[in-house]
Amino acid sequence: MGYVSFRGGEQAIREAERLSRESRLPENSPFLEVTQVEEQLGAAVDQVMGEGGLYDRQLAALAVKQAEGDLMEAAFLVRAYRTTLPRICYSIPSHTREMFVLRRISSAFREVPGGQILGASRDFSLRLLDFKLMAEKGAPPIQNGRDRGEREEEQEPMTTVLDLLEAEGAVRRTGRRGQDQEPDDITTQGLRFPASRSARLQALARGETGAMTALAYASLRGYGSVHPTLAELRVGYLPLKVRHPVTGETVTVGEVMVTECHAVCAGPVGAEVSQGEGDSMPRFSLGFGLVFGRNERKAISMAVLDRVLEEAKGRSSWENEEFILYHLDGVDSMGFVEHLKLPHYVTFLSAMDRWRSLMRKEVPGDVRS
Amino acid sequence: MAVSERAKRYELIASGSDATLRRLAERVASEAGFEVVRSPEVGMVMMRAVEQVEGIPFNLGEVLVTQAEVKVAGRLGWFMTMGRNLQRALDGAILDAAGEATLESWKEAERILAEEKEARDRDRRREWGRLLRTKVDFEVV
Repeated sequence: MGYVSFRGGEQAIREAERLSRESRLPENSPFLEVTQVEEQLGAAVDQVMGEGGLYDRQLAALAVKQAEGDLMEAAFLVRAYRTTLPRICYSIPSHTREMFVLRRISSAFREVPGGQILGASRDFSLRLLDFKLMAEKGAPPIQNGRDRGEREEEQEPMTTVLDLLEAEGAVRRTGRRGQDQEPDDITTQGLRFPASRSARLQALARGETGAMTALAYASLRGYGSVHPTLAELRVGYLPLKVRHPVTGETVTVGEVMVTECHAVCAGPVGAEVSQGEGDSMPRFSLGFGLVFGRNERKAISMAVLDRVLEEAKGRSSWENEEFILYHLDGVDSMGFVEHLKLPHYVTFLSAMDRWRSLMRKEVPGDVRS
Repeated sequence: MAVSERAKRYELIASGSDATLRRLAERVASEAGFEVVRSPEVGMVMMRAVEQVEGIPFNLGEVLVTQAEVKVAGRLGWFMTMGRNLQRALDGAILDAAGEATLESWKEAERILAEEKEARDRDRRREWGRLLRTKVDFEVV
């Protein structure tokens, strides 16, 4: 089959783009400042940074504004922009033990070392529209913590629930030797199957939140076998560390907000899954999630899917590695779905020709005679 | 392992606000001038993290950064900062070079940056103090 080129529509396209710009900015509507998006629509900004695979709050806020709140489109804008930037270096790997914790909860144990810190959370609020927000104008009053008698406390490193479980022998974190291993990078090599663990985690970390939630939900509801308990869910700041170009020492450039999830899974019939070759002890298996920004839904989904992919190995069609990793990328999926809007005149004409030909053969009088 | 003066200086400069770095870099520039070796460059660092199941590093995602390199009194200075911030990268590099050249203006800058770092550390302790108010106190009923 060959392709046929057409021209036309340039004027209509120009006018459509002009209308789109005008509809983004109705007359007399005050400009939405990028800093307002950055400061007040944090969940959207965090989601776009994660799915765009580029951490910068200002750029993500600009993308949200430009995309008129369409977060998949905003992530696409961020991904496109990142292709114009040079990659300076890889960071020194950060360990999540280094996190300055803003929130930390466990659904596995009531009492955990360091305690359960709810941080800023809407988990316990009723999902009722707050009409008081309709009346908000101007700027909120300045909150001066010192006036409220705030105390200063030093955050001590926290023992994780996984540390406790490991000490008891309930879990075993395998492959510690792998720390020096060079991870795969799917932004330079593309995804290949079977994917390495590092490639898989990278793909999950920049996956689309909705797709990941849906796939994790499918597993939890029984279409898969993973239904974990959250040993720990944490939000906090991780240091971004690089090697100093002169001294070669590690220096901290800044901090990146992340959400981390440790999921502990039992086996299918209560007999816990044994982890690692040569390990005869019954143990719980683990799933891990780590994503940019505060995005708890995605971090939990990542931990579930990490475990699904470790256990799946062709168990059912949807638990297949290619199926999951190819379908959770927002930019890939929106591009493919929305390409259906583009002209398919020739391919559809071909389909129509086949149908017409079929109909000619099956003219009732001919067929029935 | 002992941390070099240069690495300590980097962390000190990194804790300063944009406005402070601007003011201090201007003082260095008026004392000794500076020459741009590498103009501020916006780019990305691929951030790596260690996952908690097998303990392997993986690529979490890229972080937008700006870096610059300058020369002050014949000494090289380098600085990298998060985000798109050309002026801050340049100011940080000027201060790093000033430290290398042990200029008088650096000694003053070092004192001011140490105060600012202490204030930031205090803010962090206050933040944790605020967060501790949300620590759950379970009661058995």
